[in-house]
Amino acid sequence: MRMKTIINIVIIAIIALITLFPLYWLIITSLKSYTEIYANPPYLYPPNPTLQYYIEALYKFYGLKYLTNSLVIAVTNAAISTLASLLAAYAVSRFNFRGKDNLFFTFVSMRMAPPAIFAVAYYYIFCRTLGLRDNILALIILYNVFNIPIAIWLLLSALEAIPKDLDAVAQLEGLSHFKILFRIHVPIIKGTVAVSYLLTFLNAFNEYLFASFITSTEARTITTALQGMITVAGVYWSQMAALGVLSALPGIIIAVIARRYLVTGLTMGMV
Amino acid sequence: MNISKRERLYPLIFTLPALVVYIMLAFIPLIFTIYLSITNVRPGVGTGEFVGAKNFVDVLTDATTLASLRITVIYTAIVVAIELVLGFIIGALMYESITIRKVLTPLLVIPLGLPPLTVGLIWRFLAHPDFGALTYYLRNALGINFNYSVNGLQAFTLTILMDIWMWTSLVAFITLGGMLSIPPEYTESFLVDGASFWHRLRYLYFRMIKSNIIFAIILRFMDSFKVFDQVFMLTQGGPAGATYYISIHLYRIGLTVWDLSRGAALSLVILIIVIIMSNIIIKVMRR
Amino acid sequence: MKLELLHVSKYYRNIKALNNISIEFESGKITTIFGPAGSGKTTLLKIIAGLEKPDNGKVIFGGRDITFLPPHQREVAFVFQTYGLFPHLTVYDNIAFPLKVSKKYSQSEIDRRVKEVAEMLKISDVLQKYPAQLSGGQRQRVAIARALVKDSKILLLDEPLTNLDYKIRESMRGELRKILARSSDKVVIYTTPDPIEALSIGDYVGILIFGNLLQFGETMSIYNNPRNITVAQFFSYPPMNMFSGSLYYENGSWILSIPEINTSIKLSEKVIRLDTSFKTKSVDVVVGIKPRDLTLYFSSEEYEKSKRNGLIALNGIVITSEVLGSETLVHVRINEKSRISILIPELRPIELEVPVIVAFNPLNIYIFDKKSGDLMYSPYQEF
Repeated sequence: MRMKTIINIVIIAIIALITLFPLYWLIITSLKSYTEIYANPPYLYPPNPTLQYYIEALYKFYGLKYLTNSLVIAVTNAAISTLASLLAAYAVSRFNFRGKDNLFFTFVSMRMAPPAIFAVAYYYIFCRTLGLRDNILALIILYNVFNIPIAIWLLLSALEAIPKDLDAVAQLEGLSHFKILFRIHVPIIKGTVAVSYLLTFLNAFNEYLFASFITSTEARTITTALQGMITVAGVYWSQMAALGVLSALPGIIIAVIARRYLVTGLTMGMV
Repeated sequence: MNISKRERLYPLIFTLPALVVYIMLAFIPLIFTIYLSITNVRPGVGTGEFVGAKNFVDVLTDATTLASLRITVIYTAIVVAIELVLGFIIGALMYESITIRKVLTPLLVIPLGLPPLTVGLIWRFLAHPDFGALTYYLRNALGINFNYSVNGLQAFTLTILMDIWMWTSLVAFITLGGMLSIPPEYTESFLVDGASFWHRLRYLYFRMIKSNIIFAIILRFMDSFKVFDQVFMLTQGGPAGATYYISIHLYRIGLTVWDLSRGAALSLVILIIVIIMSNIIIKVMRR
Repeated sequence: MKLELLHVSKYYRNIKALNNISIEFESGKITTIFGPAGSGKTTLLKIIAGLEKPDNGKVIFGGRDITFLPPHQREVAFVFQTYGLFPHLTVYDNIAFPLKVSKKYSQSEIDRRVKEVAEMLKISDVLQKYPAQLSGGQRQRVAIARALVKDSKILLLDEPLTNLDYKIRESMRGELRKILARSSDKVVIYTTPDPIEALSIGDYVGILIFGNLLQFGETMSIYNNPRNITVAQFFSYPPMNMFSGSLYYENGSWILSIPEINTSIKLSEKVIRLDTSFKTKSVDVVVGIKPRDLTLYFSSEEYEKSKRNGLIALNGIVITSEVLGSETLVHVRINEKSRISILIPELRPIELEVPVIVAFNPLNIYIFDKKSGDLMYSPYQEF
């Protein structure tokens, strides 16, 4: 074997190990019993792997409910964000717009702000005024603020790549703007639409701060639940690890699927 | 002329949903926050009257705030510097070897996709004083008396390690992207001349992708300055304020004590700091 | 059916894209709109199609004012310069698109028409492919097929051949002529920046230069009698040679002095017919000679042998030559300031720096009034 190949393999091995070990540790912890976790020296593999802690986490600790909440919020919000952004991106791309550059500036400044800037206002709006305290609807509406910049950015660059002549061809046959967007543009950029949906979904699913102070018991999300378990924990490490693994699953899957767009998403404000 | 009137409505209809969200959820809250920051809203004591810059002054002269800012700045500086160097090197490695690129890309995206809170959880398990793998290794192989829940410096270092683990790959991808747009002739001439890897890093890649590097610095700076979820989960800001970064401090003021006005003022201060620092970084790097 | 544009103007920000254009098109005829890039040709077509609205003026078709009518109510078909094929649809679906959208046709009717048009354009074998898999020439045929598949009364083609390879362009020109001949019930308007294309395809031509319609009429007639210097400069291929000079009348003859090429031509007024108003004073003129109307001789013997009476001869040195299709364009330096170009009807390598003799018949020139640019005399004398 050549030197270069050996070096490459070593590099890959080192980086892969560092990157994956922490996650691996979480996974095997979720498959170990309490005593196995505390074993000294610690087991680097689960000696008697069992899924019982997952079951317990989901049912005894209401993990299923929290997971469902997170999923429902993310699924719905991603749909709303993607749709609203699709319409807005079409407008920016196809209409002559005063304030197109303002758009970019607004997004960037929002990106720089600590989320807490909105926190109190949201408390007043959602909990006091709208009475949506502990209601998943609040988060579904709220997350749009963070997801729209991401989706608009992705969709706008995809739409701009569609030649305007195609629009003219469609207009010639009498298609309205809505029809042009949904019958012609969307089929052409359906990959980007899917990615927008996935990234906004992930962004909503992974969020903690706003979920924590808007929800309490009914609408609790999985991230909030995890944080809550820490204060109670003590003996429930396996179950907590199980819940942690579940909370990581969408992220792992989506990150790998949408990896080409991940940098863009993170730039525009994904967490 | 009837048609043009109807046509003019279209942009409005299309942007309406996004616009409504923005006005309701970004613009108005911002105004509200500014309002809060210049008034006096506090549970029990506060009257809600106009107090000018008093909140800002209070916040900026408060010892806890200053300590928090100080430790956040140190954290940010270290984290950005290390991630930049490491990420740049990894990016170059991925650029030069397609195998490395293809194998590592799906792996390196994983830390980026995890919920930050879960990252905190992972490291909490990894470095747990009682059963963490890292704990065991540090104690037995390196002889360090490791317990981050009592040792502030260890906790601080741990948060830095965690951040590096989580975000270095982003820098790697950003720099990789920059390198992929270098015209191949440049790279080839360097390879033909037999320049060493470090030589290439310094003279080829660093020079050609300067704008990407600036971008990565700004991005990481903005986000690490505001770090919250993972640190909160790992240490809750302790022990004894060793990891009490500014966002955690803000959380405490605004959402635990409900000192809304001071919280609003602090959040605006953070925003201004980020904007100013970003501009400075750009200007310094552009020279 | 007549398609008329009356005083149509269009502005883009502060630039006048079209300036007071009035022009008429008849169905059954192919009209070419000729002009360099940026002249407003595409804008003109878009206004006719209804994709843009004029800022001033009207569009009338068959007596109806259609200026503000939406495109799909105008029965117009458009072939775009960039083809505009939908990448996510097969060739079949691309062609069927106008029919499917209009909802007026049954599935079998659509199928029949698509196949018929594909047959005519020789793309029947690629119907199930996607545009990305086709060559440039094939894509263009699909674009044309899509325009022909529906019943339209106006057919617009925007520089359809410009984006094709040079070789394909020549063969397509002939095919296009045949295809367009079948659309004898439609108003056909075709734009191009290429004078040769205009000459080979259109019955009528409108010269549109930077927003202004300078001349309109039968193609050959305009080619032979360009109304002014601008039209002559643009609508000639290769470009006309032009020299400044002056014209005056003396004792029954016209004296044309062209210092730029060291020549003075004397023509009896019986031979050349010019407006009598020019007899009173000398006029500054621009003289134009088409490269085709010049003959090149490589030695004085050659010239003496083939010389006929009345020719004007110039001495010069060859600067360079270029190949144009199956002909050669030779550039010759006459003196310090002037050069002249001659088109030889064969492919021939020309030695540089050799002395040559350039000869022409003095009646084969164009004379333009220098101040107004208007045509004063042309060899065809039909104007």
